[in-house]
Amino acid sequence: MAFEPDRVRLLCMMSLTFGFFIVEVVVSRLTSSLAMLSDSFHMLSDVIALVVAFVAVRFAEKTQSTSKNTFGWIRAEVMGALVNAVFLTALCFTIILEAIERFTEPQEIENPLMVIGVGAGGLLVNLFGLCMFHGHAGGGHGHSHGGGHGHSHGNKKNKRNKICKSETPSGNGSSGEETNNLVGNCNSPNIIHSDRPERHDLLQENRLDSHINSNTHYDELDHTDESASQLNMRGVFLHVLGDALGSVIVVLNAIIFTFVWQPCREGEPCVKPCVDSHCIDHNMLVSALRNSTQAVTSAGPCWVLYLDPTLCIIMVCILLYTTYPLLKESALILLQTVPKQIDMQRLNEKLRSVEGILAVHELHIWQLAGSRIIATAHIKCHDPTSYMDVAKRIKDFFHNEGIHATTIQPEFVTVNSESPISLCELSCRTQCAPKLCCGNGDKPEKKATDKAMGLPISCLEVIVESPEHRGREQPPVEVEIQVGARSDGEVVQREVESSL
Amino acid sequence: MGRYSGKTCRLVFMLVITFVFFVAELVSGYVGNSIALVSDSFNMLSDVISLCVGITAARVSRLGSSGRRTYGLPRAEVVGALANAVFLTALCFTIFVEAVMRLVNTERIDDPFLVLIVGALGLAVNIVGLIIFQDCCYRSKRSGPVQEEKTQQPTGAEDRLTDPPGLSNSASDNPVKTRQTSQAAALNIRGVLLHVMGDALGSVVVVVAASLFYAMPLPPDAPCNWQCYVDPSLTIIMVIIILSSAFPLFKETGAILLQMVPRGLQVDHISEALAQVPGVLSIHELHIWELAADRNVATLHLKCADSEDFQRVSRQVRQIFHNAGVHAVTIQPEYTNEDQDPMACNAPCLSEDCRALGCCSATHPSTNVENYMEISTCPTGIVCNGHFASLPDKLGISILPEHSPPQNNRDHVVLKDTQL
Repeated sequence: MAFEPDRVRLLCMMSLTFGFFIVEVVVSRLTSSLAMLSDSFHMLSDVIALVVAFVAVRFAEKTQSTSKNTFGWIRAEVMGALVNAVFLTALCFTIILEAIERFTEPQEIENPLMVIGVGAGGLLVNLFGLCMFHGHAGGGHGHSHGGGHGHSHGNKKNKRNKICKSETPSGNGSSGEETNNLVGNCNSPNIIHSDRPERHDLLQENRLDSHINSNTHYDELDHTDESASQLNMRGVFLHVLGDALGSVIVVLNAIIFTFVWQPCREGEPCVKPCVDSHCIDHNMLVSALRNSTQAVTSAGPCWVLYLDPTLCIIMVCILLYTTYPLLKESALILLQTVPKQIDMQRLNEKLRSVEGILAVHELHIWQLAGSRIIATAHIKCHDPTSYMDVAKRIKDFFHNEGIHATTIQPEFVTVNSESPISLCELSCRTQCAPKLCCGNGDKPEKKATDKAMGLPISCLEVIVESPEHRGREQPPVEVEIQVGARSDGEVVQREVESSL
Repeated sequence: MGRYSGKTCRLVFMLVITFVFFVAELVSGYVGNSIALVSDSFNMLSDVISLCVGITAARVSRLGSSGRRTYGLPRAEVVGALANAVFLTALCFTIFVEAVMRLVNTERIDDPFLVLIVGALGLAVNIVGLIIFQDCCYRSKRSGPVQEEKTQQPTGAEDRLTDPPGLSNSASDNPVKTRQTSQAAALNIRGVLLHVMGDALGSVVVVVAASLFYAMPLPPDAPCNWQCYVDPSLTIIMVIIILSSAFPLFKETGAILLQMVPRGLQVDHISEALAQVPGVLSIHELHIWELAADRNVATLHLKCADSEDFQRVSRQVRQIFHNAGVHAVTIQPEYTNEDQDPMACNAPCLSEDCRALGCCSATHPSTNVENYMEISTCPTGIVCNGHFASLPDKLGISILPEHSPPQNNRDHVVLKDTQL
């Protein structure tokens, strides 16, 4: 199982780090060194991060669905990664605060040799941890594994896409079903239809490829779980890295302090210009100048005391810079966004060019974890008899895009229906509108506010006919009364235009 | 709720107040050369940061759907709440560490009067914040639908699910509308409120300790007595209080982000109710999850005899889901052949290998006996879970309720058996 080595590694590192934490606490009590005590708590924060990652790994091992979680627990690792990333960011914040305090109130290191010793020990532990988790540390590797080989690469961004996106009016009421209008505005179906022969060939090719490439799915299999846990391990790696950098700073600081700093020796009148105690210095100076002819020494070069906070701030910058991608990635997954290797615009185009598909709406693609991408769509087809072919082609298509868990809901249109082919049969209760997953509200004013709130709504509700249908006879085939929460005809019209 | 529902306004107002106070404390700390003031001002800074996170989440969650985010970003507030909770936990950890060090190495408060004043002011600011937001989360808690449903769940679930539409909907729909906006923002505001509360408790501790030193001042050279231990021990108690109130927030945001079944919904009941719909042969790949707030999404594969059946069945299926509170349902029909196993999913992905790349593949499908999604009449061992249902032959076919002819035959199209 892909989880075993992770678990072992995490346990090993946890016990090591915790052991070292205990050692540091004991030593700090023996030497009454506060700095060591505070450094030991950095180790403790490491342990906490490792515990979080371990819990996530344990959870994510259960990939089967249960009654509490129909998707299994594989997302736990993404969540563990996010928690670790935010935790690390918060720790960086507190380190910055401490560093700022040190700037205003520099402190000398007591007992630098002991600090060097323990710091070096901590560094060794952290370096060992870095080696253990290093394999997962690469930024941005395992995420595009979901692509596989025999399919189109969704990563290339079309300039056209960007232009199209900017065309979509954001305040417009019709942009509720934004995916539809996106496609509708930019590529009229006429163009797509004319391209269809070529695309059909392309699809055939893809299908062939997919057979050949079914072997490559074994790779994908391995990578699925790997890339899911990769995020988690990256979080752990970053924590260990932060701790290692901290140990480096501690050791470096202590070494420089040992060799460069000249402390005040007992018995001699000595001034400490670096530490901010005006009154004492002043009094001392005065008394010293009055009393003795001895030279007044001053404690060592001041910059030494400022080295620690400076290095800390540099370390924080490094850590934040490396943590930010992890934070962003795990947040994007949890926010149910489209995975970055998939280009929705192109996918929409290609999907609509599949033979037999009239229109596509309510297309949602999101990433569960790793390479597990899930899609749902409503597909409008000509009639039920051709549906089975269309469905197979659709599945092929998604398979080639790397999406293997799809739920396709067909909607049929009768040939003899005079009425405009609405994208969605809009039978929806107004009350459900706010509770739907996405889509605009039914009424225009509601739509405006909902759009402002970014709540596109699609009512997937069975019942009630929409007002414009009331007058007419029910269309003969009424399969999906899916979606689209609009109840005013004009919006329907707009949709119709865009889909045909 | 409109764009300016007041939540963001309140957050921004709170942000401004806190930031101003932070700056004031910082400046006075440097001017008065009091490190305690400076460190207390950093508590305010962490408040400011959590407010920024909250405001950003609230703003971002209003973005519409686009090519990169097909659902829009309603989950932003949930993620924001989680981020705030984790941030707070990390801060509590560092505060705990400092308190422990203070216990070990006691220090006295040098200028209790100044600290007392500033602590009291900070407390006032935090109390203002708590008052401003006090009605947000109570409302959601009090009228929380899910909690009510939860208590009624064991007894009324099935009735509720199969209720005729007229009865249940009118009752459940109206309160739902008022609830939905509050619950989404409630998590976010709760995250921010936890920070404010933590800060308030910290200020309380500071005030108590400072007033102790003010009332019973220690002579400058005397060693620290019991008074010096008050501050750290109260701080540790405060950390425990904050962490225990952050924990429910973790659980709630975790439940949403992990795609768990929404609270109050019992998948077993739903699948049983679905199984009893006439015409439904089997159901698999049933997934119910919560996008955010009250927005539940469900997908399933439904096996029935033919397309005509499916139209009739889908209406009832949606009704069941509607009664359960799930309004975004995507149903994939699968039509059976006579010689085909009605249990098997006949719309899988292309090859067996895809199974593991499916949403929730069972790597050991045949041993997945505790899979809730089996219809209760399903014999065990059936995979209702992956794309493939690789059934051994010996399993009997249990066809669920009789395939009765469609009642309202409004569709005039003659359909052949279609097979996917």
